[in-house]
Amino acid sequence: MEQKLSPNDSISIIEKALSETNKEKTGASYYYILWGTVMTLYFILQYLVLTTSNNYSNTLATIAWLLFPIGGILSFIQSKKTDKTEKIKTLNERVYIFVWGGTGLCLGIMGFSGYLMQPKNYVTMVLLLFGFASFVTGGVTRFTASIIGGVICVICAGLSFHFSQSTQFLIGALGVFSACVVPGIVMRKTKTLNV
Amino acid sequence: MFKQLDPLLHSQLRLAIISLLIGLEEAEFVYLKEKTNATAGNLSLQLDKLRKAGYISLNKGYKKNYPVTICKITPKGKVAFKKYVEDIKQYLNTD
Repeated sequence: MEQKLSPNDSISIIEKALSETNKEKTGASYYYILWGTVMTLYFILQYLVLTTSNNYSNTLATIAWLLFPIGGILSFIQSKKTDKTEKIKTLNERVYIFVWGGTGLCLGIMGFSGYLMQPKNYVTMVLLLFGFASFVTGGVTRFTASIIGGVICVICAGLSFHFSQSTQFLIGALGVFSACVVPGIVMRKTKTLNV
Repeated sequence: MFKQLDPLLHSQLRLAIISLLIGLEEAEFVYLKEKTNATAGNLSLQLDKLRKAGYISLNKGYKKNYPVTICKITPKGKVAFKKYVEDIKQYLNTD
C-alpha cells in the first residue's frame, strides 16, 4: 500500500534516513587503536633498545618486531569477525582502506628498502606518512580529532630532525599516539559521526 | 511551473530506501528491512521496482551459508534522487 506524500513528509523521510546512515560506524576505530598502539610500543621499545646498554636490548628488539605479526593476526581476526556481522558498507570505509592501505604500502617499501635510507630519517618519514594519512582521512570524514592528530604528528616529524636517533623514537611514539590512538578512542566514543 | 515529481521516488518506502542507500556504499536487505520497518514481501517488491528502473543494483550471494541480497544505488539512482530533492524544494518554497 502506497501512501500519498506531502513535500514535508518527503523531506522528513530523507532527513531521517540520512541521520540514520550518518550514525553508522566504519569500524576503523579498532584498527586505529590497534596499529597506533603497535607503532607507539614499537617506538618506545626501539628507544629502550638504543638507551639500554645491557643484555636486555636484544630481547627488546625481538619483542619490538614481534608486535607487527601480532597486529597482523589481530587485524585478520577482526576483519573476519566484521565480515560475518556487518550488514552495510559505509562511504567512508573506502577512504580509510585506500589512504591507510597506501600508507601501509609505503611503509612496507620503506621497510624492505630501509637500508638505503639514512637511519636518522626513518622515524621522520614514518611520522610524515602517518600524519598525512590521519590529516586526509580526518578532512574527508570531517573528523576533527584525526585532523588535529595528523597536524601534531607532522609537527613531531619536523621536530624529530633536530634530535638524536633515540629521542626521535620517543617523539615518534608521541606522534603516532596523537595520529592514531587518540582519534581511535574518540571515534569509539562519538555517536553522531560516520567514522 | 512546478515540476512533476519522479513517481518512482515519490513513495514512502521507495524514498526511504533510496535515502538510506545514498548515504552508504551498500546495504544488505535485512538492514533496509530493519530501518524501514517494512515487511519482507513489500520491501522485495519495492526493491524490484527500483532495480527495474535502474536506480539500484541487487546482488545475491551467500554469507555463512545463508543467502544475502546486497543493495547498492546506481549512478542513475543518484541523479534521480538529486533531481527529486531539487524538485521537492520548489514545493517547499511556496508553502
